[in-house]
Amino acid sequence: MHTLKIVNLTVEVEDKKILDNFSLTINSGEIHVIMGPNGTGKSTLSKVIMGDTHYRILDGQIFFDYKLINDLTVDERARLGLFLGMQMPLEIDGVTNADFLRAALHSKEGDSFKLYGFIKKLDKTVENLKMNKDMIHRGINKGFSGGERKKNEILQMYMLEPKIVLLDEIDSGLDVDSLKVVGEKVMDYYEEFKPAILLITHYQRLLDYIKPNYVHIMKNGCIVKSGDFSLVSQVERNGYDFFINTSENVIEDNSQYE
Amino acid sequence: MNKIVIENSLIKDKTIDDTIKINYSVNDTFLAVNNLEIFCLKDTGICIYYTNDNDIKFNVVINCLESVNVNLFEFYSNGILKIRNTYNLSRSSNLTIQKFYDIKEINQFDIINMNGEYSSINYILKTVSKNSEKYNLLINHNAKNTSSNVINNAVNINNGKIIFDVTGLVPKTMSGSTLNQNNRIVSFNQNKCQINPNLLIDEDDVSANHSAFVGQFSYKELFYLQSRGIRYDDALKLLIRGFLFNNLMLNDDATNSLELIIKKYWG
Repeated sequence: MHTLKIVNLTVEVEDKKILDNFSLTINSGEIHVIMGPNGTGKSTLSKVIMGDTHYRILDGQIFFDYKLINDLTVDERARLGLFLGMQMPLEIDGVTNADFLRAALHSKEGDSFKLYGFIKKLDKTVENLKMNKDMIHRGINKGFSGGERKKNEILQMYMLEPKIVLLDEIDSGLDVDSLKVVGEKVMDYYEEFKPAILLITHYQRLLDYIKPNYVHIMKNGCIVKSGDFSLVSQVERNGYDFFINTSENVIEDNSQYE
Repeated sequence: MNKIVIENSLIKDKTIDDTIKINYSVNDTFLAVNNLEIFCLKDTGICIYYTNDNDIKFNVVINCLESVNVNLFEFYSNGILKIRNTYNLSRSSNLTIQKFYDIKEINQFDIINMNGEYSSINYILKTVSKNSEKYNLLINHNAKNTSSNVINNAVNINNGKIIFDVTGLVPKTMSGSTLNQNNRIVSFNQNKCQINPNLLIDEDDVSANHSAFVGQFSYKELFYLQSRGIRYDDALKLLIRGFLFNNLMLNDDATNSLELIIKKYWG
């Protein structure tokens, strides 16, 4: 059982407050979805959890299994078992996917890293994700379409087997077929490893494949409403303004999720 | 693959076949220049290893005859070097040059003469600069429908400072030419590094572009690698290795030489 606990997190970047007293707890086996309008701090949240030093934590704590990780570096957090599937995965020319993944696995597993096992697992995962085998020997995301980049993020997730998975708009740039593959593979991973998943998305379409236990609406750097899956259809029907502008709909007490 | 090893002005090792002819004269008494001339007669591959302890001067001329495809690897190590390389390309000849430098100091002037129509050159230079390095490159598109692609990559460390001065020249009437320059210096010190990309074109029907970058690896790249658990030093090494190996197509010998250099500086 693993837990990611965020307590009263306030974050700024370039003197602008992005997260404001944000709190949330996610346990293994739970899928949480965060939805909200653009510029409300969703991607910032995922990057701050991962340890992006561009963002300054003014107040609050992030705990991984009750260990405070505010001061850990990005790689230290990743080796604990945090994983961020990025909204816009970078292209890094010259560093092949194979070298990258081998270095990542080697960092995680140390002396117990086995090259043969790595190659076997990589081949199998590439096949499962219906990816082109050549891409393994190409530069990271070099010449990849939007969909291929997102699949590559999922491939990395499978290879690294994280305990806490943060997926930042993993559905953007995907066609219907790729969306199905990515959605189903995330769920397969969930079924096999029971990680804690925090999913950031704008659209219901990804939730046709990934079924969340909890849905949170975020605005101005904090959660303004939490609920179950039915909240998603309310968003689709009424838009975000319904929750933000209608005071009686705002849950003042989110304590059950904190 | 033909192999020539020149150590302190002397040819220490030479394995050549009938695809090339070479002339070598040691230390011209007046100018103290060593002269090497190679004629590429048929499709061929050549590895030239230069290694020296002292301050040495070379004048090298490589001639690619008509319709010949040449794959040339040059590896420079150790001392202080002043070198002028001239590459002459005849009609429909294709030359790929891959150069790697791990040298104390160098002042190099490379001239590429694309004398024959439909000749093409793919010029890739990689260096780890520790002191002063100056690379001048002049590409003369002396015939129509010629193509040049230049990639200069440097990692600048210790007390390194480096200048890339790259000029592509297309005279009037030499239509249909293509020029591409990509110069990049990743610097780990505050010394002045300079890229001077010049495209001197006196003809309308030409496709030309260039890019130049002096700086460090981006925070985003490092963040991405580290977000998968790779330690900072290892992420940096991965980026440096990728940068130095990128665009190269090396045989095992050359790959090993490059791996040794990366190991020497980055463990």
